Order: sequence, then C-alpha cells, then structure tokens
Amino acid sequence: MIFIKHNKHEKKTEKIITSRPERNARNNNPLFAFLVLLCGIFGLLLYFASIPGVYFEKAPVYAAAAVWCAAFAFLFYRGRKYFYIASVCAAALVLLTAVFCRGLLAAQIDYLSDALTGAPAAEPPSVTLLVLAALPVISAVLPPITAAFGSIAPIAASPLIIAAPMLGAEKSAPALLLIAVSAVGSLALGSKESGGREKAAALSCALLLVLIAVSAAFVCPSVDRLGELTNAAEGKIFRFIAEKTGRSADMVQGGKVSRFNNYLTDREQLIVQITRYPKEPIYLKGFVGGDYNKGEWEAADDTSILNDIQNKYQNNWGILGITNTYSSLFFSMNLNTIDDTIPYPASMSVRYISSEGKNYYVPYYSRVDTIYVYGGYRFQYYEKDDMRINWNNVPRMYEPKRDQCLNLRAAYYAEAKDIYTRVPENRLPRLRALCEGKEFESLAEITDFIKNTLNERTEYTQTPGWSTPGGDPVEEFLFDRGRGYCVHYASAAALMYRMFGVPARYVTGYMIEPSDFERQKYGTYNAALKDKNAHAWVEIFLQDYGWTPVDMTPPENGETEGEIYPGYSEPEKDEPNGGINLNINLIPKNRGESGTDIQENIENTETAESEEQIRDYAAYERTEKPIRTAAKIILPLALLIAAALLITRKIRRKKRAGCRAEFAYLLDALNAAGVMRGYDGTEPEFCEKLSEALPEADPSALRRAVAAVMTAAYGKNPPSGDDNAFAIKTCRGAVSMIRKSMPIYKRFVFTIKNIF
Amino acid sequence: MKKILLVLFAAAAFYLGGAYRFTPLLVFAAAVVLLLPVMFILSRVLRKKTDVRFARPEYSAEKGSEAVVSVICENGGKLPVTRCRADISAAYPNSKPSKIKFQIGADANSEQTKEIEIKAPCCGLIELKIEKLNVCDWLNIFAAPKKCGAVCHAAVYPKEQEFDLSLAPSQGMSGFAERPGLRGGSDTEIKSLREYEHGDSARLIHRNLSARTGELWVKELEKQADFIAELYLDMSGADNAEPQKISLFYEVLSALTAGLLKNAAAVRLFYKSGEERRLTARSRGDIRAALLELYKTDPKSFGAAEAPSGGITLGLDCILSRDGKPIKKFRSKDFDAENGVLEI
Repeated sequence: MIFIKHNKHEKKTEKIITSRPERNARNNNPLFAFLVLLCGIFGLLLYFASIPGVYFEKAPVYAAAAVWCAAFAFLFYRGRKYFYIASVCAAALVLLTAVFCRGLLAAQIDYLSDALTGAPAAEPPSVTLLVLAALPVISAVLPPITAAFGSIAPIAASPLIIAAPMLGAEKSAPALLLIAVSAVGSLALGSKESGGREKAAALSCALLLVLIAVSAAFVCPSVDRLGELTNAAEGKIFRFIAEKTGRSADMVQGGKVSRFNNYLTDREQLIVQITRYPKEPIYLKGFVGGDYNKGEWEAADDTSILNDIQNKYQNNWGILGITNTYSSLFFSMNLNTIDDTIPYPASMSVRYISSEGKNYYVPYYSRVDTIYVYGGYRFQYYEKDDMRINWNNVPRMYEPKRDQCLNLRAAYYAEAKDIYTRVPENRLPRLRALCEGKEFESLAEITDFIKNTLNERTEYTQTPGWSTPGGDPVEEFLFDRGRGYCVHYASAAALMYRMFGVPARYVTGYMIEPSDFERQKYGTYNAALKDKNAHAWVEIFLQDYGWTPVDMTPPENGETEGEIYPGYSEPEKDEPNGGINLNINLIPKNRGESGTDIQENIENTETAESEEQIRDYAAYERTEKPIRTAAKIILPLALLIAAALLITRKIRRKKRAGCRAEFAYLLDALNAAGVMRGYDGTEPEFCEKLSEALPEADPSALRRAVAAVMTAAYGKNPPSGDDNAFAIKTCRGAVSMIRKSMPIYKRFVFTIKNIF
Repeated sequence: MKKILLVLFAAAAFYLGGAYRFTPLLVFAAAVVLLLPVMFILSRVLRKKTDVRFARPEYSAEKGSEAVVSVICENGGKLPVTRCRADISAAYPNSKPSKIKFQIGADANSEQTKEIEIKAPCCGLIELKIEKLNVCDWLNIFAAPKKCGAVCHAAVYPKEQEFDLSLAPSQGMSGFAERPGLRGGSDTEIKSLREYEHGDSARLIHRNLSARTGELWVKELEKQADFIAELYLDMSGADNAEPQKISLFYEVLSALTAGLLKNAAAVRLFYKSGEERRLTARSRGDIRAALLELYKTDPKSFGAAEAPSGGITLGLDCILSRDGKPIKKFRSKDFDAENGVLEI
C-alpha cells in the first residue's frame, strides 16, 4: 500500500542520539578464533565417534577438520571477501561429492540413521565420506554464526551435552569437555566490544576447566548418591502424578521392557481369594511375551499355534475346543491321575478393584471355573508341589482323552519349539557373544549358567536409572548398568534360554507370597494385590507341567533364591522331557534347523514369506527410513526457523514503520470486515466515514491519529513521539473494535492472514 | 535470560545425569552451578575498577549537523572488562530525553574510547547523561550496577547566517549608543576593497569598480570604536517553550546579532535572568559565547529586559519590536526567505 511507505530516514530524525560504529573496530585474533573453532569441531567429531555404531577413519577426518577450520577461520577474520568465495567453493565440492558418490553417501546416511535410532550393526560400517562431506559445511557456517550471535554456541552445545547419555555416548567425556570449552570461548569472544576479548575468553575457558576439575572431584565419588537423589525427586513426582491421574490403580502392563525406574504407589489393584492357604508363592500370569524386538516383547499368540494344529490334525477336540483343552490340559491330567496324594484342587477368585477387564490373570496349572463372579472370575488350580501327573495311571475311560492330550502336547511343543526360541541375534551382539560357544548337557546346567551370569553381572534395584532410548535395555542391563529389576532379569533370562534353544517366554503378572493372604471369616484367604506384587518372570516348557514359571529375580536383600522349576534341585535326575523328546539344543541354536516333520511343511512356506518380508523391510530401512527420519527432524526445524525469521522481520518492520504499520493493519481490518473497501486513508472524507463505521470510537481521536499517520507518510518531518504513540494506540483500539464486530470465521481468517 | 537458561541447563543435566548415572553430565551440572556464583563475584570485582565517563564536559555542533561525543571506559584493574552497559540519555530542556543503550569494554589497565553521535535538530543545549551503568562478567551472565552520574553538554548553535540590515539614519535605532549614518557612501570611511563573497550586502558593492573590472567588488567600511548596538531580549516563558520555538529564537538572535555586527563594533544584548544582565558580542565567536551563556541560564529565571524608549526588543516569539510595536515577525518556514534586506 503506497500510503504506508517505509521512510528510511525516520529513525534518524526521531532519535537524536545514536551509537557510532567503531572506526577501527578490532577484529578477533584469528589464531584464537581458530583454536576455539577447532575445539568445537574436534569436540563434535569425538562426540560423534563415541555414539555406538558410528565409525569413521580418524586420521583423514581429523586432518581435514584442522585444514578446513584453519582456512575458514583465517579467511573469515582476515579476508572476508575470500571467505565467501571459499564457502561457495566448499559448497560446490560437497555438492559434487553428493552427486558422484550418492550411492555411498546414501548408504552411509542409512548406517548413521540406524546407529542414531538405536539399531547399531555388530560391526559398524564406516561413515567417513559422510563426515568428510559435512566438515567444510560446518567449518564455513560456524565462524559467521558465532561472530554474529555469540550466545548461539552455548545454546547449540547444551542439547548436545544433554543428549549424550540418550545417544549412549558413554565415552564422550573428552568430547563434551571440548564442546563446552569451545562454547564458552565463543560466548566470551562474541562480545561486540573490543575490551580484551581474547584474554577474557581464554580466562573464561581456563575458569571453566578449573570448575569442571573441582566438580569432578566432588561428583565422581558420589554418582550413585546423586543418582538416588534424582530418583527420590523423580519418584515423588511420579507418585504425585500417578495419584492425581488415577494411574496408580492401573495393573501390570504389556511387554515393554522398562527403560526407567520403577516407583511403587502402594495402591491396591486386585483382590485374590483362595480356599486353601498356599504352600508356595502363587504366580498369576497376565501378559506372555512371544517375539522380542527393540526392547519390547510382543504378545505370544498361542491361539494361532493351536489353530494350525487343529487344521493339520482335524481331530475332534470335543465341546471345549482345542484352545480350552490345551489351556487346562495339565490341570485335567493331574486331576485324572490316580494318586491319593494329590489333593483336591483349590479354588481362586480374582476380582478387579478399579480398571476392570484390562488384563486377564491366570494361575498356573489351572482351569477356568466361572467367569464374572463378583466383578472377576474363578479358577480351580493346583500348586506346583501338587502336580504329580502320571500319564500311564489314569482311569481307563480317560485313556482316549489322555492320548489326545499327549498328541496335543507333542504337536504344541513342536510348534512352540521354533517360535519361542527366536532371538533377534543381530540386535543383541553382546548377548550372543556371551552365550556363543557354551555347551551344556542339561537344562539344569543352562539354568545354572543363566543364574550365575545374572548374579555375577547384576544387582537388583527398583531404581537402576534410565537406559538409552536407542539401546537395548536387556544388553544395557547385563553389560553396562548391571542394575535392574524383575522385567530386566526375566527378559535377560528368557533371551538366554532361547539362545540355548530352550523354549522360554517372558511373563508379567502378579506374584503372591503366602504371607500376603489373610484368613477370612468363612475360612477363605484373601490377598489385596498392590503394585509391589506386580512381577515379571520367565517360563519354560516342561513335559509334565507345561509352561512353568522360573523366577530369576533375586530378592532385594539377598542372592538369587527365585522359584526354580521342578527337578532343578536334582540335576542328575533332570529329565524334564520324560517320554517325549523335547529336542532341546544344548548348544547355541542354528537357525533353519527344523524340529519335526509337522513343522517342515509350514516352515517352508512361512520361511519364504518371511524372507520376502525381511527383504522388503530391509529395503524400507535402507531407503525410506533415513529420508523420513531426516524429514521428521529437518522439516519442523526449518519451519520453526522460518517462522522465527518471519516474525522477527515482521516485528522489526512494524517497529520501524511506527504508526503507519498500525494504520495499515487498521485498513486491512476494515477490508476484512467488508467496511470502507477501497479506502486508503488519503481521502478527505476518510475520518468521517471511519467515525461512522466505528460509532464507539472518539471521532476527534481518530482525526488526530489519521493526521499523525499522514504526517508520518507525507510530512517533511515525522510526527512527534506523542502523536506517533497516540496514533498507534488509537489504531489498535479501532482494530480491536472491528475484530469484535467480525463473525468468528472472518476473525480467524483475518488473524491467520495477519500472521503471514 | 542467560541465567535462567543456565539454571535450566544445570537442572536438566543434573536430572538426566542422575537418571542415566552419566558422570560427565553430573560434572557439567555441578560446574555450571559453581560457574554462576563465580561469574556473579567476577562482575562485582570488575565493577570496582571500572568507570565510564565522557571524554570532555562540553561539545558543540551546528544545527542540523552531528556532534560526535566520545565515551571512555576506564579499567584500572588487572582483568579485562568485556562489556559495560550504559544507558545514556540526551535531552533539550523541556523535552523528553532520547535514550540509547551503549556498550563498551576495556582491556586490563587501559582505556577504551567509543563514540556516540548527537543529531542536533534544534539550537540549544543538549544534556547528555549516563543514567545507568552495569558492568558485566565475561560471559555476560550477571551485570553489576554501578553509580555513575557522568554528564556532558552539547551546545547546538545556529548556522552562521546574518540579516542584511538596513538602518535608516532618519529613524536610526534608539538603542544605539551613537548614531552615525549607516548607509555607507562618502560619510563612511572605506577601509578596504575585496572580492564579493556570498552573503555580502548588495549595498556595499562598489559599483564603479565592479563595472570597470567586470567582477564584483565590495567595500569594507571602517567601524567606529564607539559604535555599539543594543538589543533587548524578552525571554519570559522560556521554561515552558518547546525546543523548536526556542531554537528559532536563538537562530533569529544569532542572525540579527551577526547582522548588527556588520554595522557596529559591538552588540550589547540585554536580558533578564533574575536581574538585568548584559552580554557583549564583538565578533562571531562572541555571539556563540553569548548564546552559550543564554543556553546555560536556567530557563525558569528568564524574564523580559526593560528596553528604553525607542529600544529594539526581540521576544521569544521571534517578534522584533520597538516601543511595544512589532517591526517584524520571524517564522521558521520562511526564515531563509527573510534573510534579505531587513529594514529597521
């Protein structure tokens, strides 16, 4: 709009005092600036190299970094014109590299993306070319940015420093030190005044180093205590939030292996009532884990296994169907075994307190009795000690059923053996290395090995600290932190069992100690389960028990004394497979070896399908994923920067234009409201029309404001400060009135339009 | 802002360091926590030996031009001061001050000078004051306030112009101590002849010589030692007048005095500041000295100098009058146009 032309000289005429640029402004000493820059770049490279899965050739990269840094620092501070030429040349060089080596660069971006998103390869491929290509860009960009905005260096360095543990950069201390020194040096150098900047920057860096040394002397011996301090604070916040949001009543969740601390709220979640006081802890399983991937167990899908079996054998599973037959198989066999020492099964009812029906908790060796009794369900169950199945000693009339159960058990095991021994070995390189080459003769030896490994390497705590988002929580638990709680013990044990070819599953649910039960008036026993009863354990498949809990979690105050499967205490009699060959491989399992003939047909077709899926996934991971990941980061960042620039520019322009900008805004508002279209403020009758359009406004104020705007736009001298301020205030008030009179959608459109 | 960011960084680093049991992060958090008091103390230490002042107490400029004022940061300590933030204000009397935030630093045991520009739109005295001074630490986290009352003045003089006065001998100026004929001619002794310069009165052109040589020559007249012009000033209301109004008054006064000086050996300016006072100008330099004297006088004390009968008075509203009768009213927009022959 012509009326609102910006007057370049306005500011000069308004302000009688201005700061004068220094005639002989002293530039930074290029040598010192170079050192600061070099510190920063070397820090970045060291930081980069300390991220697990990132590898590059050190010698050429550090040499190139030094050369680029030196060139750009000296050119920037001593030959600005050549600096820009060199920057353009460097950009061209990077572009050429990108064009001619795009395949290699794309692959390296792919590797890097994998490393940063927590899927490092066992032997990380080199990303040297990528780093070499990035170096000139970083070296060219840093000097002008730090010279213009001294504060940007520490602002940029802070997230890097804070993100180090999240990226798993355990050995990044020297890198962080260099980055911090460079940031502080840049901050002190960035001061536009020329009062001993280099000296101050050098002293600041030295001071920082001294403070870091002093801090290290105090902090290093008490890292755990400080960690406990943060845990205490975090725990309080967690409990407060859990109480306020009602999450404390939520029951045991799914198969995610926690990367955080475990805080208990002591809130009751479940009521269990039994008819007989237990002799041993009772395990109620809620979630059963199948495949393990990136720190999470997928739910085990027994139904599909049983459906496959049903399709294959076309057997008559009776009224219960194969699923229910299987779920109560071992209970029924124990119930029908002729043995006077086996007691009558106990009864258990489970009742929810708040979050009804979220999970379904089942005791081992049980059969569903009634569903939805008093807001829960009821089982008949045996304790482990009461399980004495004798497959050959059942009533004659039960023998056909027994044979059917035997076949079902064999078929199920044949399927489960492959499914529940799957381990993503490429993602668990350290665990694979730990188990590789070990040869055991029995399940007891395997269990011993697992138990000893956990005892030697780990320590039980509810607050082990956080594990890195990209890393594997089980590997970190075993090899880095050495601290964890039940979910970590159970996951590690399940994976190790599987590594040795023993079908094992991760289970979460509740463990109820006998002491948790209280005798009730009618002879029953009740236990109110709190989150302290929530537990995770591993289950293995035994021939006379089916899936049996194996608790590898040590008690909080002692060494491992967990629940061990039947027969473990007598290794010489350890024949858990009984009459059926469970085909346990006691050496690390070789993929592709099938167990039974039943398996082979399914396996051949499934393997082909899964290989294709894996190829597709690999292709996706190689091509689309890095691009999407980069896009996810770069696009929002670019949008944010653009928005910030836009807003800054707008504010600056508005400030410079003074009352004219507000008047332009008023004209826009009038146009948007559909009032006084075509007017631009120069019309003689403008004030009159405006007063008519805005009856609430003071006509004399409007006239004065318009006169001030006219003076600003066309006058020889700008309006006085008071007039300018008055005009701004009046225009704003008028816009506010117009906005109020607009319909909502018009107001919204006007607001959005105004933003851009 | 930096303080908040640093505290947030320390808190985040401590929390994440503790949560991940990541020693370097805990060390950084502790170092930042230590850095804050160290920088706070540093800013106080630097403050002790640092001072900011103006290089000179007085500056001068011509209206419409720029005056350059030097500001000195003096650091008597052994540590460099990278940043002192000073709020400097500049204001004419009776006007709102214009302020800038000024930053300066100085190396150890040294002085650093930086300059500020004063734009002078009006005649008068601009007072420059360092209102607030903060000495920052090296990382610019803390700023220690320091008392600083440094003041300097910039006198803005009118442009050098003069009215071409035509004083009729019959009327004369009763304010003159003596009244010789001022028209030039045979009764006035010619001191010398010189080439015409811009601004010379047309009356002084030596027509015969100019006609003969083809170039303009002007006569320089011998002034009488006892020939003194008197001008009475009425500056009442100066304490409430806008700077632009006072500026015009000073411009008229300057041009009038310069014009009178062409015809008289001296000009006496009578004004009232509590009591009757007078200033005498014998040269252009004296005019500026007289103006400075007026600039420095408290505007509230100004009044109207009593002119004798037939005396010429110049009022603050730029009306030249004799015996209360206006002779001429000067206006800002046609001040240049009025710079012709003024018949009084």
